[in-house]
Amino acid sequence: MRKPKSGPKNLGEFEILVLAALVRLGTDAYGVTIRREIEQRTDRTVSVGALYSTLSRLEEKGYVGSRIGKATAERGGRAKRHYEIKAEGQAQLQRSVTALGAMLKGVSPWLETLNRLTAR
Amino acid sequence: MARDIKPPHSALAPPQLARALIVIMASAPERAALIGDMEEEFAQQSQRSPHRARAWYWRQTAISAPYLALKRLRSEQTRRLGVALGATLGAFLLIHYWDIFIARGAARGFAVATGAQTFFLTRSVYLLVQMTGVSVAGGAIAALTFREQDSFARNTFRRLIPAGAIILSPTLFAMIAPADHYDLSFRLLQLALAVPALFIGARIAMWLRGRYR
Repeated sequence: MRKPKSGPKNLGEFEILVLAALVRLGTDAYGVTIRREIEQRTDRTVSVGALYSTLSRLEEKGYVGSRIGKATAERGGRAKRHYEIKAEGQAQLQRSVTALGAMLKGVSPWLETLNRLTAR
Repeated sequence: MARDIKPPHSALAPPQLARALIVIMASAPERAALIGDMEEEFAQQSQRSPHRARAWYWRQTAISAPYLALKRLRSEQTRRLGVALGATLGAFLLIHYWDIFIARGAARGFAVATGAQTFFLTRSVYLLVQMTGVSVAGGAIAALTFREQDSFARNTFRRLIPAGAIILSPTLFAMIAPADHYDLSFRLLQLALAVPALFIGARIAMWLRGRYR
Protein backbone atom coordinates (compact mmCIF):
# COMPACT_ATOMS: atom_id res chain seq x y z
CA MET A 1 0.00 0.00 0.00
CA ARG A 2 1.27 3.47 -0.87
CA LYS A 3 2.27 5.51 2.17
CA PRO A 4 0.39 8.84 2.29
CA LYS A 5 2.53 11.96 1.98
CA SER A 6 2.90 13.95 5.17
CA GLY A 7 2.42 17.68 4.65
CA PRO A 8 0.24 20.53 5.79
CA LYS A 9 -3.32 19.53 6.60
CA ASN A 10 -5.98 20.26 4.03
CA LEU A 11 -8.10 23.34 4.65
CA GLY A 12 -11.53 23.13 6.21
CA GLU A 13 -14.63 23.95 4.18
CA PHE A 14 -15.03 27.46 5.57
CA GLU A 15 -11.32 28.17 5.18
CA ILE A 16 -11.61 27.24 1.48
CA LEU A 17 -14.59 29.59 1.12
CA VAL A 18 -12.72 32.46 2.78
CA LEU A 19 -9.57 31.99 0.69
CA ALA A 20 -11.65 31.70 -2.49
CA ALA A 21 -13.43 34.95 -1.56
CA LEU A 22 -10.04 36.65 -1.09
CA VAL A 23 -8.95 35.48 -4.55
CA ARG A 24 -12.20 36.82 -6.06
CA LEU A 25 -12.17 40.17 -4.26
CA GLY A 26 -8.49 41.02 -4.74
CA THR A 27 -7.61 44.37 -3.19
CA ASP A 28 -11.19 45.07 -2.05
CA ALA A 29 -11.22 42.22 0.48
CA TYR A 30 -12.19 43.26 3.99
CA GLY A 31 -14.69 41.90 6.53
CA VAL A 32 -17.90 43.25 4.96
CA THR A 33 -17.09 42.33 1.35
CA ILE A 34 -15.73 38.87 2.24
CA ARG A 35 -18.82 38.05 4.29
CA ARG A 36 -21.13 39.32 1.55
CA GLU A 37 -19.27 37.41 -1.16
CA ILE A 38 -19.58 34.11 0.72
CA GLU A 39 -23.23 34.73 1.65
CA GLN A 40 -24.24 35.59 -1.91
CA ARG A 41 -22.40 32.70 -3.54
CA THR A 42 -23.19 29.95 -1.03
CA ASP A 43 -26.62 31.13 0.15
CA ARG A 44 -25.71 30.73 3.82
CA THR A 45 -25.48 33.11 6.75
CA VAL A 46 -21.94 33.95 7.79
CA SER A 47 -21.26 35.41 11.22
CA VAL A 48 -18.60 38.07 11.62
CA GLY A 49 -17.23 36.10 14.56
CA ALA A 50 -16.69 32.98 12.45
CA LEU A 51 -15.17 35.04 9.67
CA TYR A 52 -12.67 36.87 11.86
CA SER A 53 -11.75 33.68 13.75
CA THR A 54 -11.00 31.99 10.44
CA LEU A 55 -9.09 34.97 9.04
CA SER A 56 -7.02 35.16 12.20
CA ARG A 57 -6.23 31.42 12.01
CA LEU A 58 -5.28 31.68 8.34
CA GLU A 59 -3.06 34.66 9.15
CA GLU A 60 -1.32 32.67 11.91
CA LYS A 61 -0.68 29.85 9.43
CA GLY A 62 0.87 32.35 7.03
CA TYR A 63 -1.76 31.90 4.31
CA VAL A 64 -3.18 35.41 4.58
CA GLY A 65 -1.76 38.87 5.16
CA SER A 66 -3.56 41.99 6.38
CA ARG A 67 -3.12 45.74 6.49
CA ILE A 68 -5.07 48.52 8.16
CA GLY A 69 -7.02 50.79 5.83
CA LYS A 70 -8.75 54.12 6.23
CA ALA A 71 -11.31 54.97 8.90
CA THR A 72 -14.71 56.24 7.79
CA ALA A 73 -17.60 57.92 9.59
CA GLU A 74 -19.93 55.15 8.38
CA ARG A 75 -17.85 52.67 10.40
CA GLY A 76 -17.99 54.77 13.57
CA GLY A 77 -14.48 56.06 12.90
CA ARG A 78 -12.96 52.59 12.81
CA ALA A 79 -10.47 51.52 10.16
CA LYS A 80 -10.99 48.66 7.72
CA ARG A 81 -8.67 45.68 7.88
CA HIS A 82 -7.85 44.59 4.33
CA TYR A 83 -6.85 40.98 3.73
CA GLU A 84 -4.93 39.38 0.88
CA ILE A 85 -4.04 35.80 0.10
CA LYS A 86 -0.32 34.95 0.18
CA ALA A 87 1.54 32.56 -2.12
CA GLU A 88 1.47 29.86 0.59
CA GLY A 89 -2.29 30.36 0.89
CA GLN A 90 -2.76 30.01 -2.86
CA ALA A 91 -0.72 26.80 -2.90
CA GLN A 92 -2.64 25.38 0.05
CA LEU A 93 -5.96 26.34 -1.52
CA GLN A 94 -4.92 24.56 -4.72
CA ARG A 95 -3.94 21.42 -2.77
CA SER A 96 -7.18 21.35 -0.79
CA VAL A 97 -9.37 21.92 -3.85
CA THR A 98 -7.51 19.19 -5.74
CA ALA A 99 -8.00 16.78 -2.83
CA LEU A 100 -11.68 17.70 -2.61
CA GLY A 101 -12.07 17.27 -6.37
CA ALA A 102 -10.42 13.85 -6.21
CA MET A 103 -12.83 12.78 -3.47
CA LEU A 104 -15.88 14.07 -5.30
CA LYS A 105 -14.91 12.57 -8.66
CA GLY A 106 -17.69 10.20 -9.69
CA VAL A 107 -19.84 11.10 -6.69
CA SER A 108 -22.17 13.38 -8.65
CA PRO A 109 -23.91 10.64 -10.74
CA TRP A 110 -24.18 8.53 -7.59
CA LEU A 111 -25.90 11.41 -5.78
CA GLU A 112 -28.29 11.92 -8.71
CA THR A 113 -29.26 8.22 -8.55
CA LEU A 114 -29.74 8.50 -4.81
CA ASN A 115 -31.94 11.59 -5.26
CA ARG A 116 -34.07 9.80 -7.85
CA LEU A 117 -34.53 6.80 -5.57
CA THR A 118 -35.43 8.86 -2.50
CA ALA A 119 -37.82 11.05 -4.56
CA ARG A 120 -40.00 8.03 -5.43
CA MET B 1 -6.74 60.73 14.09
CA ALA B 2 -9.02 57.90 12.97
CA ARG B 3 -11.01 57.83 16.21
CA ASP B 4 -12.02 61.47 15.78
CA ILE B 5 -14.25 60.71 12.79
CA LYS B 6 -17.83 60.66 14.11
CA PRO B 7 -20.88 59.14 12.40
CA PRO B 8 -23.54 61.59 11.18
CA HIS B 9 -26.10 62.60 13.83
CA SER B 10 -28.99 61.28 11.77
CA ALA B 11 -27.52 57.76 11.76
CA LEU B 12 -29.26 55.24 13.98
CA ALA B 13 -26.97 53.78 16.63
CA PRO B 14 -26.55 50.00 16.93
CA PRO B 15 -27.93 48.30 20.08
CA GLN B 16 -25.57 49.38 22.86
CA LEU B 17 -25.77 46.11 24.81
CA ALA B 18 -25.02 43.99 21.73
CA ARG B 19 -22.10 46.24 20.85
CA ALA B 20 -20.78 46.03 24.42
CA LEU B 21 -20.93 42.22 24.22
CA ILE B 22 -18.96 42.23 20.99
CA VAL B 23 -16.37 44.61 22.49
CA ILE B 24 -15.93 42.30 25.49
CA MET B 25 -15.72 39.08 23.47
CA ALA B 26 -13.60 40.16 20.49
CA SER B 27 -9.82 39.82 20.75
CA ALA B 28 -7.79 43.02 20.61
CA PRO B 29 -6.14 42.62 17.17
CA GLU B 30 -9.44 42.33 15.27
CA ARG B 31 -11.77 44.19 17.62
CA ALA B 32 -11.78 47.58 15.89
CA ALA B 33 -12.13 46.13 12.37
CA LEU B 34 -14.86 43.72 13.47
CA ILE B 35 -16.95 46.40 15.18
CA GLY B 36 -16.32 48.76 12.24
CA ASP B 37 -17.61 46.11 9.82
CA MET B 38 -20.73 45.57 11.91
CA GLU B 39 -21.39 49.32 12.13
CA GLU B 40 -20.91 49.72 8.38
CA GLU B 41 -23.40 46.96 7.60
CA PHE B 42 -25.77 48.22 10.28
CA ALA B 43 -25.67 51.73 8.80
CA GLN B 44 -26.46 50.38 5.33
CA GLN B 45 -29.29 48.18 6.58
CA SER B 46 -30.79 50.89 8.80
CA GLN B 47 -31.37 53.08 5.70
CA ARG B 48 -33.83 50.44 4.48
CA SER B 49 -35.31 49.35 7.82
CA PRO B 50 -34.02 50.44 11.24
CA HIS B 51 -35.96 47.62 12.91
CA ARG B 52 -34.43 44.96 10.68
CA ALA B 53 -30.99 46.51 11.12
CA ARG B 54 -31.25 46.18 14.90
CA ALA B 55 -32.49 42.60 14.57
CA TRP B 56 -29.56 41.86 12.22
CA TYR B 57 -27.09 43.33 14.72
CA TRP B 58 -28.45 41.22 17.56
CA ARG B 59 -28.50 38.09 15.39
CA GLN B 60 -24.88 38.65 14.36
CA THR B 61 -23.90 39.14 18.01
CA ALA B 62 -25.62 35.90 19.01
CA ILE B 63 -24.15 33.74 16.24
CA SER B 64 -20.68 35.32 16.58
CA ALA B 65 -20.49 34.85 20.36
CA PRO B 66 -19.37 31.17 20.39
CA TYR B 67 -16.61 31.80 17.85
CA LEU B 68 -15.33 34.91 19.60
CA ALA B 69 -15.48 33.28 23.04
CA LEU B 70 -13.62 30.20 21.78
CA LYS B 71 -10.96 32.33 20.12
CA ARG B 72 -10.56 34.33 23.30
CA LEU B 73 -10.14 31.13 25.32
CA ARG B 74 -7.47 29.93 22.91
CA SER B 75 -5.62 33.24 22.94
CA GLU B 76 -2.05 33.54 24.20
CA GLN B 77 -3.15 35.84 27.02
CA THR B 78 -5.67 33.28 28.33
CA ARG B 79 -3.13 30.48 27.99
CA ARG B 80 -0.59 32.48 30.00
CA LEU B 81 -3.16 33.19 32.71
CA GLY B 82 -4.05 29.48 32.86
CA VAL B 83 -0.37 28.53 33.19
CA ALA B 84 0.13 31.16 35.93
CA LEU B 85 -2.89 29.90 37.90
CA GLY B 86 -1.82 26.27 37.40
CA ALA B 87 1.74 27.03 38.51
CA THR B 88 0.47 28.88 41.59
CA LEU B 89 -1.87 26.03 42.55
CA GLY B 90 0.86 23.47 41.88
CA ALA B 91 3.36 25.44 44.00
CA PHE B 92 0.76 25.78 46.77
CA LEU B 93 0.16 22.02 46.85
CA LEU B 94 3.89 21.33 46.61
CA ILE B 95 4.63 23.48 49.67
CA HIS B 96 1.70 21.98 51.57
CA TYR B 97 2.64 18.33 50.99
CA TRP B 98 6.36 19.01 51.26
CA ASP B 99 5.67 20.49 54.68
CA ILE B 100 3.58 17.51 55.82
CA PHE B 101 5.65 14.64 54.47
CA ILE B 102 9.21 15.86 54.00
CA ALA B 103 9.92 18.80 56.35
CA ARG B 104 8.10 17.32 59.34
CA GLY B 105 9.50 13.87 58.56
CA ALA B 106 13.02 15.28 58.47
CA ALA B 107 12.48 17.10 61.77
CA ARG B 108 11.09 13.94 63.40
CA GLY B 109 13.96 11.89 62.03
CA PHE B 110 16.45 14.39 63.38
CA ALA B 111 14.70 14.41 66.77
CA VAL B 112 14.80 10.61 66.97
CA ALA B 113 18.43 10.49 65.87
CA THR B 114 19.52 13.08 68.45
CA GLY B 115 17.23 11.88 71.24
CA ALA B 116 14.92 14.89 70.94
CA GLN B 117 17.15 16.89 73.24
CA THR B 118 17.56 19.96 71.06
CA PHE B 119 14.26 21.72 70.30
CA PHE B 120 16.00 24.63 68.61
CA LEU B 121 17.99 22.38 66.29
CA THR B 122 14.91 20.26 65.44
CA ARG B 123 12.99 23.38 64.46
CA SER B 124 15.97 24.63 62.48
CA VAL B 125 16.08 21.38 60.50
CA TYR B 126 12.32 21.66 59.91
CA LEU B 127 12.66 25.26 58.70
CA LEU B 128 15.64 24.46 56.49
CA VAL B 129 13.87 21.57 54.73
CA GLN B 130 10.62 23.53 54.52
CA MET B 131 12.36 26.51 52.91
CA THR B 132 14.05 24.17 50.43
CA GLY B 133 10.52 23.20 49.36
CA VAL B 134 9.53 26.87 49.11
CA SER B 135 12.58 27.46 46.91
CA VAL B 136 11.58 24.56 44.65
CA ALA B 137 8.10 26.09 44.39
CA GLY B 138 9.63 29.49 43.54
CA GLY B 139 11.76 27.84 40.88
CA ALA B 140 8.75 26.07 39.40
CA ILE B 141 6.78 29.33 39.25
CA ALA B 142 9.70 31.08 37.57
CA ALA B 143 10.27 28.26 35.07
CA LEU B 144 6.60 28.17 34.07
CA THR B 145 5.58 31.82 34.13
CA PHE B 146 8.63 34.04 33.60
CA ARG B 147 8.74 35.61 30.14
CA GLU B 148 11.96 35.59 28.19
CA GLN B 149 11.68 39.18 27.01
CA ASP B 150 11.19 40.63 30.51
CA SER B 151 13.94 41.39 33.01
CA PHE B 152 14.25 39.39 36.24
CA ALA B 153 12.99 42.34 38.29
CA ARG B 154 9.94 42.80 36.06
CA ASN B 155 9.20 39.06 36.10
CA THR B 156 9.54 39.01 39.89
CA PHE B 157 7.25 41.99 40.33
CA ARG B 158 4.58 40.85 37.86
CA ARG B 159 4.64 37.06 38.34
CA LEU B 160 6.55 35.80 41.37
CA ILE B 161 5.18 38.28 43.93
CA PRO B 162 1.46 37.76 43.06
CA ALA B 163 1.93 33.97 43.02
CA GLY B 164 3.92 34.12 46.26
CA ALA B 165 1.22 36.23 47.94
CA ILE B 166 -1.38 33.56 47.06
CA ILE B 167 0.85 30.71 48.21
CA LEU B 168 1.70 32.37 51.51
CA SER B 169 -1.81 33.65 52.15
CA PRO B 170 -2.75 30.78 54.57
CA THR B 171 0.17 31.80 56.81
CA LEU B 172 -0.89 35.44 56.62
CA PHE B 173 -4.50 34.52 57.35
CA ALA B 174 -3.43 32.37 60.33
CA MET B 175 -1.53 35.37 61.70
CA ILE B 176 -4.66 37.51 61.52
CA ALA B 177 -6.82 34.88 63.25
CA PRO B 178 -4.42 32.70 65.28
CA ALA B 179 -5.53 29.52 67.06
CA ASP B 180 -4.89 28.98 70.80
CA HIS B 181 -1.74 26.94 70.27
CA TYR B 182 -0.46 29.37 67.64
CA ASP B 183 3.18 30.36 67.76
CA LEU B 184 3.17 33.84 66.19
CA SER B 185 6.91 34.44 66.37
CA PHE B 186 7.62 31.15 64.61
CA ARG B 187 5.08 31.96 61.86
CA LEU B 188 6.64 35.37 61.41
CA LEU B 189 10.03 33.70 61.07
CA GLN B 190 8.59 31.26 58.48
CA LEU B 191 7.12 34.11 56.51
CA ALA B 192 10.33 36.16 56.69
CA LEU B 193 12.31 33.19 55.38
CA ALA B 194 9.75 32.16 52.73
CA VAL B 195 10.01 35.41 50.77
CA PRO B 196 13.77 35.18 50.08
CA ALA B 197 13.44 31.39 49.62
CA LEU B 198 10.94 31.95 46.78
CA PHE B 199 13.24 34.56 45.28
CA ILE B 200 16.34 32.34 45.55
CA GLY B 201 14.44 29.42 43.98
CA ALA B 202 13.37 31.61 41.06
CA ARG B 203 16.91 32.89 40.64
CA ILE B 204 18.36 29.35 40.60
CA ALA B 205 15.73 28.16 38.10
CA MET B 206 16.52 31.04 35.78
CA TRP B 207 20.24 30.44 36.21
CA LEU B 208 19.76 26.78 35.27
CA ARG B 209 17.85 27.88 32.18
CA GLY B 210 20.73 30.11 31.20
CA ARG B 211 18.88 33.36 31.82
CA TYR B 212 20.19 36.31 33.91
CA ARG B 213 23.54 34.65 34.64
